[in-house]
Amino acid sequence: MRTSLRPWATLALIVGLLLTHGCGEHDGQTNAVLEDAAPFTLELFSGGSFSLAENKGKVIVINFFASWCVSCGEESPMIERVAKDYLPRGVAFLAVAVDDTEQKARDYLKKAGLNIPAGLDKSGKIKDAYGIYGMPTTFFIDQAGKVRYMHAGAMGEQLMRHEIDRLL
Amino acid sequence: MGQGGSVIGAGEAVWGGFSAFFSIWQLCILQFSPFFLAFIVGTFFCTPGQRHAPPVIRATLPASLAWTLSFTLLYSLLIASALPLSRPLISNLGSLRIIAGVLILLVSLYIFLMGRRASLAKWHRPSTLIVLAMVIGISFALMYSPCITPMLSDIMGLATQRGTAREGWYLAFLYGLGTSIAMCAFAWALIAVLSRSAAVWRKARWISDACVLVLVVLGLMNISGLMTFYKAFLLGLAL
Repeated sequence: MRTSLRPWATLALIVGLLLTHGCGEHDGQTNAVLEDAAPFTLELFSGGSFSLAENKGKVIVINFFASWCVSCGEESPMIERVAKDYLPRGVAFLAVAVDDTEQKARDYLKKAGLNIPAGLDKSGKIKDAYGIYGMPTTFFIDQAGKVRYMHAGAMGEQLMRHEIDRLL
Repeated sequence: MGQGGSVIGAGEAVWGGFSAFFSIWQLCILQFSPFFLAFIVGTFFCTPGQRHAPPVIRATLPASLAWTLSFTLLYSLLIASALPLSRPLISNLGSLRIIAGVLILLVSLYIFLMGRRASLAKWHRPSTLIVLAMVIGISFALMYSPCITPMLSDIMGLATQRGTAREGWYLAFLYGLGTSIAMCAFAWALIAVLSRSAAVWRKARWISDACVLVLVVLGLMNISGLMTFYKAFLLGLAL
């Protein structure tokens, strides 16, 4: 029986197109357009809540994490150190647990020694609004409520301090 | 608005994804790796009337390729959040995960019935398996929450900026391709070992049903939101 080659030819074409796509090409657009940070209110583990609207006028650092995320543990102690230095300067920090349970997130924060305000995004709506696909991801929001920088992956201390300083 | 990108070669991106599969990052890939094995093994052993092992690669290659392409394409689109096409996908991920759960249940039903209804054997063709594998690939990309490796962090630095989103998407595709190739190679090796044993073939129905059960549990976890518990407890245990 003769096997049709058409599916394999199509597949080869798709793979070929992908592999020959230029890796060094940029589409020429700029990153100048800043987006408004999506408003939300999060119930905190420590009681009370964190509202983005109520913190307008401050530089806000939001760190999305999960207790099971391999790379999140690398940056949590660093975030705590940076937060200690910048909280007196009016910077607001928030840790948002996603795809997680409350108990596991609480245990993780305790183990990591992260004491910044934290809560669980139970419905996943905050995660979706911020377009989170992987963890950890950190957002830097300026005093006008615009997202000025987003970092996917574990951050270095120098970079985090640099991004906050830029907004102060 | 995003982190600065670094220069990553195409081969480097594929290798980054491939090697992640065999490293500590496998803990995160456990979100879908056991379920992919259940799909491939389940469809391999559910063939009605089959008593002897068909060549592993020939029997599973079309489905593996279809899964690889569909998973990698959607995964890379979800990584490249600055692409206009990606935005609606990411902002509706919660709802899409429920749809993914329903699709996984339908695929499970197919495997379950195929092992029982000889009259359905005419449907059990490579083209059917390709469609099912694509459905599973799309569903797995939707339910996945990747842990961001250092290389993926660099790739996302490009993929989340408007000016470099296309370049970032391309690298994310290659990174996902590397992980998928590793996943398929592992699945082929597992099937090759299993299918050598006559005892395994005598239990083919049982193996196929066990795989169906695993996929049904996955589908229900996605629909009910219990996937969060799988991630928090099972993946958390390993850390």
